[in-house]
Amino acid sequence: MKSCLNLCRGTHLVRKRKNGTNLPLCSRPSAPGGITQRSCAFYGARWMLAPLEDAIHVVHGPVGCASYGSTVRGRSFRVFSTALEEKDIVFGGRKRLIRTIKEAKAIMPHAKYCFVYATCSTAIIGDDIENICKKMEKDLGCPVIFVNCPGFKGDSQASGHRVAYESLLNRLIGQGKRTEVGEYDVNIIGDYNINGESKVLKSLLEEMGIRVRCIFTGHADYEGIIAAHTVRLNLLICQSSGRFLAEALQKRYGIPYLKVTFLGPSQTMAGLRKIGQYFGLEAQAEKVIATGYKAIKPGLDRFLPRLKGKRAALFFGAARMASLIKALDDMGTKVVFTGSQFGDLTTYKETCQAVSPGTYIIDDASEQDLEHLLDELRPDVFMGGIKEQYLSHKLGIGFCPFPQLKRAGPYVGFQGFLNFAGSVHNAVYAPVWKLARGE
Amino acid sequence: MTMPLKLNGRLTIEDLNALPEIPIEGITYDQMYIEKQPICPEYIPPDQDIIPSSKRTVVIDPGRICMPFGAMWAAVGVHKCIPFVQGAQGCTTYPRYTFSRIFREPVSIATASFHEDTAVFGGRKNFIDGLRNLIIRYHPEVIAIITVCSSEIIGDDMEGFLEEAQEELEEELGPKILDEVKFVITHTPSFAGSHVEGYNRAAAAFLKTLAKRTTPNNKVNIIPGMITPGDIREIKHILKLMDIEGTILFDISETLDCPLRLPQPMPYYPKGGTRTEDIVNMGNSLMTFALCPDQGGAGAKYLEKRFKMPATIGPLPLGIHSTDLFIKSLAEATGKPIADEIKDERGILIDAMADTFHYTMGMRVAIYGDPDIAAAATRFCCELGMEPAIVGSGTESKQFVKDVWATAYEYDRKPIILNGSDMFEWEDYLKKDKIDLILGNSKAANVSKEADVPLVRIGFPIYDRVGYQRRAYVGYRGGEYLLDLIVNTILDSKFPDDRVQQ
Repeated sequence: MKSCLNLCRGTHLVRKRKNGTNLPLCSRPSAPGGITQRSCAFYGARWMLAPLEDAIHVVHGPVGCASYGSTVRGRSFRVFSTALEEKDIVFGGRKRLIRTIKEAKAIMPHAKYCFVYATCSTAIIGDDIENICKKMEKDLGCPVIFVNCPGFKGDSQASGHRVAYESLLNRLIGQGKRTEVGEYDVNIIGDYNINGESKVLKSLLEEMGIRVRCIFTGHADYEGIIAAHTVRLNLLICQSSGRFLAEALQKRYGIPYLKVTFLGPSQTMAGLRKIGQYFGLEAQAEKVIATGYKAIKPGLDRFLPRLKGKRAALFFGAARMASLIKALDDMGTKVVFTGSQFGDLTTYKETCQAVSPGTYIIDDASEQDLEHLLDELRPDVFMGGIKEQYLSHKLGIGFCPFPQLKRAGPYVGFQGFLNFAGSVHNAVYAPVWKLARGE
Repeated sequence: MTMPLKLNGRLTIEDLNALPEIPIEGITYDQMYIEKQPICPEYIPPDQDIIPSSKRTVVIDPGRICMPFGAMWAAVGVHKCIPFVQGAQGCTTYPRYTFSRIFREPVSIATASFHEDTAVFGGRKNFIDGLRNLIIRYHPEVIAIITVCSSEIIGDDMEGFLEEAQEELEEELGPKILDEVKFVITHTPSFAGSHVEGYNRAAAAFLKTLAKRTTPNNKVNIIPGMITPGDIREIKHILKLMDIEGTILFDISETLDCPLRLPQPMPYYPKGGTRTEDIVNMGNSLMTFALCPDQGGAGAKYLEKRFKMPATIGPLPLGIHSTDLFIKSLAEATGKPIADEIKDERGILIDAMADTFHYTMGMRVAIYGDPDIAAAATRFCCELGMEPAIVGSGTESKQFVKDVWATAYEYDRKPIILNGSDMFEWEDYLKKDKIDLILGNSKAANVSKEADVPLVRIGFPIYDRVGYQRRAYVGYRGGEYLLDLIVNTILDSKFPDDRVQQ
């Protein structure tokens, strides 16, 4: 490994040893002056709450934050902005916020609840948004929820994820009741319905006879959220952002949670079996597994031989790291380095267990670190977000973007694994890489 | 059998199904009336009182983004320049994401990584450490220091911090470092304007900090504004045909549209961009052209005031009239004759307009974009015989209103002008009016689908189609491309497929 990389990254970059675990330093603020892949708390909160489309989303700050925040996972959502101007910064944005919330409600009268996001500017000038929200709640007659996510809060977007879940937990969950509660009701926590995942998960579980009541936050609505405490079990999918909510629900309402992942057939099977065991539905689980696996077998036979022995590299948020490595294992693909923007100790422990010795693990890599790692290790395919995509392409390395393109379909479940394998296959075998090398 | 005809003679789906046979003359798309399902079942049209943006405080679907973004766009156009954003991480990641979506290129922007402690104690430490780390790791030639809302509200004294940082750098890395790296500070608090103003301020800041007057030369300065790499190539092409040497300040043509050639040199830097020495030399030129009055006009005005250099500010050379003006003033400034090739290019565009006016005459268009682009597009639409019905700009600008009125007066049109409004208001006007075509950016795509009006993409940002960043709209050849786009879009949507063959 290049010496300059080691010098600058210190122990944020480690290589897995044969015996024992060595983990990278993590959950630290990033050093100034780097080209960071991390983002801010506001980004994290929007990432979580944007799919709640029956709510009013008011961004209290200059117009820039609202225009950026209206795009989440490559989709546009409507947000209302207070669009603060210079005089509001000087005299405070209180009046503007009150008027904006009222007007937003007039434009969207069917909305049942309202989120008000703080931004850097409004947090620094000290607008008492929480009190304004309380006051507005009485005027509008619907919950007005303050999301305290100024951009500088915490180390990365992970703090925004947490704030978003906190606001849901403290203000909405437990407020409502359900008239009928089934024996096999579950919530899914940490699925964001990037490309129809929620539908796949729902149908998989419904085949087993399990009813999904609310998916945080990929497929959630007001009724689902306020009655989220009336289920038998929570299924935790995104382990970094969702763990907080799952643990809180367990503590407050005594609902147990199961860690499951539906990436790759082996994990999907294990997950379904786990759920089956919990509810005593083992036979149904086996049935779903058998039909699901049978359906994709011909596809796997076609793809997997071509992917065997290929080398992959990952750089993500945090959630999918360990589970994706296992899914890649199913594919016969070796991971050469993996990293995350805001992983915590638990994520890295799981990752370290999942990877084979000799793999590099990096925390909070900057653009240059990724560049060096890619240049040095030359994986066949790199997976990450859109910011990393074009860097990888410039170095002549195939890229598999997350969130994936609409065309690729969902990656979870049995059929999803086939979609995923197809995407990886496309990234590895695109003829352009051969042409670029002049072969 | 007589058919029950709907409003303005249109047929509903039921009417169509009930037709015993399709009439000999066919049914044009125009006659069909396909009712759209509203996206949200409970949608209630908003109160009409709340629609004009002057009567409300809320901004919905803004057509502008934050001021630092404009400054970053400018800084990316300088060779080996890395913008350093004095703010939280999101203030770099969101713009990098936006750049990636539009240009499909990696863009390096460094951050000062503000956290809670910085919000309390100020950004001094982050700034000084950050500059040091950036220089050691990336060896940039220019660092464009860009402030954001948070650092401006805290009141970070950037000039003071920079002096301090320079002293420390000199101590650590030797005095040579200050010759190797240039620093340019741009103050861009987002609450004081939009990306348009950010670009404007960056243009002035770069020239103020770097441009010097030594020995005058025969070059011209061009500040293009936020137009695409393809546009900048077209401007270079015009300069080449006219045999004029020019410096383009913020030349993104080779930094935001780079070739993929393996092996890449490491660390990866795009090879293009305006060179620092060229910016220094801009004080010696004959004349400055700021193509977009609101984006870069301040730079031209600064040079005019400081070095008495004549400045031509606007209009964006898009369409016949504005390109004519641009080329004439280029010829006048340098004393060079107008090249014959350019006259030919003009002729080709005129010929194309003559061949297609049947399609474009009288079409009602709605235009939305940044002020300079919207004003230029309005003029081109008028030149094509189209009728601009609604012209909106996301950023407020006096020049925009002036330009659009001048055009409207000349061609005897009466457009509704929305100055500094959001897309919510524009959309409402569009849906109430009968519009044939939209000229706007990707944000208008949803509106276009909902209102069933075809969209021609122009301006910033375009992220839902590929290749627009490589195409030119300016100059005669750019006009040709835009004309083709407009006419083909009309052919696609307004004419049945069997009626477009010659």
